[in-house]
Amino acid sequence: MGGKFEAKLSDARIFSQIVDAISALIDEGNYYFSPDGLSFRAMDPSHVAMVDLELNKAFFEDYVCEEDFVLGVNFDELSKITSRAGAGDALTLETSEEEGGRLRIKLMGKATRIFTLPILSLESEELPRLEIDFNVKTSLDSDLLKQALKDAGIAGEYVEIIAEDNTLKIESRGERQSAQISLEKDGEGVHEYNVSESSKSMYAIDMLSKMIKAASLSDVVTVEFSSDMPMKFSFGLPGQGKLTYFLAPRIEK
Amino acid sequence: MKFSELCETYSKLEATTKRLEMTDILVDLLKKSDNAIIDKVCYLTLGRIYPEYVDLELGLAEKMVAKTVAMASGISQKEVEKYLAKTGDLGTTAQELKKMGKAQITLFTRELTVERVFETLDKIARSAGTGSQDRKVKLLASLLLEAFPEEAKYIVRIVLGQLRLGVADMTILDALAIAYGGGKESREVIERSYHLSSDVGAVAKALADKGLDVLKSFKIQVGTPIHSMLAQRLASPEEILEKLGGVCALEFKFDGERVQAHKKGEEVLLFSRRLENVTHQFPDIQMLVKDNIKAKKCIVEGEIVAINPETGEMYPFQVLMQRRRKYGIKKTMEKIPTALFLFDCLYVDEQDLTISSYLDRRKQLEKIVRETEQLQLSEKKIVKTVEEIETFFEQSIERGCEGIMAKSLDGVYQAGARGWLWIKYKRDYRGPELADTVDLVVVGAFYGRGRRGGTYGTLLMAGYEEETDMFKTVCKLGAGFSDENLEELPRKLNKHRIRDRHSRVDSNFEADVWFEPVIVLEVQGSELTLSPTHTAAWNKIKKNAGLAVRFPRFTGRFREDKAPEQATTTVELKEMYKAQLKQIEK
Repeated sequence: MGGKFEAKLSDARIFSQIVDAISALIDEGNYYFSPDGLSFRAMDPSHVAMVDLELNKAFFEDYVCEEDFVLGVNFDELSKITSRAGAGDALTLETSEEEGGRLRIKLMGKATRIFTLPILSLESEELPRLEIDFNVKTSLDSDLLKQALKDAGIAGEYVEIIAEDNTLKIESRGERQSAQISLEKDGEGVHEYNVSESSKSMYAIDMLSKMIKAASLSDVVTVEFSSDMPMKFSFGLPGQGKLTYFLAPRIEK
Repeated sequence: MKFSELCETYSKLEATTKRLEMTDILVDLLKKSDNAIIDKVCYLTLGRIYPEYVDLELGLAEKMVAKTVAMASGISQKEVEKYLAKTGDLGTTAQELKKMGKAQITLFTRELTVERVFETLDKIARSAGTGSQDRKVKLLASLLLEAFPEEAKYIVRIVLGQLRLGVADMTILDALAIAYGGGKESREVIERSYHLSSDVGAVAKALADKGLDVLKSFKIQVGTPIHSMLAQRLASPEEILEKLGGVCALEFKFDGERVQAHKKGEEVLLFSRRLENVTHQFPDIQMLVKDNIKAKKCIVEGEIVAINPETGEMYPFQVLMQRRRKYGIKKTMEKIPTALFLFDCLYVDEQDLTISSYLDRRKQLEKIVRETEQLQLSEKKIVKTVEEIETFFEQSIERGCEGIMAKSLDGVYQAGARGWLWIKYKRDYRGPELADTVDLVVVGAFYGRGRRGGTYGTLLMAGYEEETDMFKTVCKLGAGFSDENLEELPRKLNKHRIRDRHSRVDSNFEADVWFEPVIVLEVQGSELTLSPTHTAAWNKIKKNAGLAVRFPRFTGRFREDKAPEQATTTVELKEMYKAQLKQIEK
């Protein structure tokens, strides 16, 4: 790591929410910093889900990064610090060379609080960006999806998601209970609904409910999937940033 | 290297019980393995992920593994458990279940490699703290989700410590000599570095990377345990003096736990005879060594003995075993204080003493130790007569020791070997019982009847034959078991149950159930007799006869401190038989 790095944000809490949304699935991973912004891509330990975060320079009030570098963090440790951010706190990220490299996090409100945490050197298995043309694409209120998943979670461990021409159905079945939620194409809270081919696929509900934690970051979520293919959730972030999740399906062998 | 290649080898190994065939299969495997992963291939094949002395465990109970299998095969945990009850083996269960049902898939499915399997298992072992169980399960899931059925079987078995291919460290050394040492002549050099490092993987890697010459100058590392030198046994002072050339050093043989202490500056590590890191069990001993050994860097050996805090007398071994625990050490430390009696010194300040004579090592030891009440040098005396030996022996018994050790004055330290440089002499022949108890390995069992219906009636017991690295049967053991034992035994044994006779077991009996040779029990017999069926010392005393222990009775003592290779050997049994004959002649 050489060159100066400093990033400032006037609302520390949005950063804290991003860290929480990632740490629900990921325990450690590498941030890639470049002069244009930062990116983060990692799979959960079971390799079933992936998180892909892109934050442009414009997301920050101030952003100086003289050269590319990689910063490995443990999300448990990071979220303990960022969750201390209160309303009105500003946040600064810096790197320091002491003790073999540390990340310095400053929270500035009534008091100025400085935390440091070690930078891990993680074997960085470069993950490919997943580019898939899905047959179903819909944008909806993230809270609408969040509530639907909560409903489905009452019955079983998996949900079947079925996209028909005008209706999106979310179903789950347990040993004793079942749940079915329908969202209509023209219904309230559904902003876009495109189905090029009717699709049906099954996903683990505990993973979906971790992915939907990012609902606190954006009012709208874009959901994409195809039959027996991964499901993609994307959330828009300020400054054209994006937080994307992929989840592999459960399929018939 | 593809993990499936390793699995192919494993199923070949499972299909044979012949030692030579196994070696051939392993030679092929080791030749095929890249140098970068050959150590990992060795550990995995032995059913673990590190050398034995590394204090890290995967820490996944069967229930958690069953949960992961359920997730990976898309079947409910209840059904997995039902299936498990039928097969008795979660590995086979995983294999069968992977073939059916609906299942979660991963985002990027790639064929498993040995590297990835090893790295993932390593991550599982290193996960600690809050949420680590969940993380362990997920990491295991990442493998099981992508595994072929056969791969799933072996991964599950490795994780549960139930691989059981019948491959021992020694089998791998045999194969290494052929694959990389240039033939059997290299076996000795390879074995020496193995005994000095206690690490088959490290030896394999050094050998494959740099060749045999590197092993010839293998260096001892403080912090890495060395295999303990072991002793033979004789039953009379006359024989001992004769064997050792008319003069020898005598030491008390304490009834405690042998320990190897490694000191590096302020840091002290303690290893048991089985190479377990027992440092956390003995903070008192750790402190003693730190404060009272003057050398900066050294490896010393001694016996930890439990002391009665009220009388200062030594407690027997069983009392010390109460210190074998994970929690509440501090409290137990007050109740059962300990002392350390040092008797050897293998390394001092960059100097390898294993190649020095006994007298030189003892001199070094005396130089570096500041004796205190709790840290002492073992009593030592150089003797030349039978009377001196007898007197010293009586003194040892008076002190509460179990006997004496006689050592050759110019003998080197033979790591891991049981030679005639050290000879133990224990309690005398006392009429209706054998002079001494023997430690035998459970290798099989026969179903019981009546009160023992549904459990094991008798156990098939074996001694260890060093020459061939095999376990040879000596008796069927059915007496001496308390109700508690009877309840405890199946639980202990069933973990090691296998389908067929283990490749290292030589038996003329067809047992109802076979076990891996792991559990060591202390057995008291009335005498040793020639036997037409038991295989111990076969043809060694009489043509077409082996040795049997008559009227064997379990003493109630599980020798958990002993590895199966440290059980009573067939050579010792032969010596005991001869001693018994002499008694009768008298």
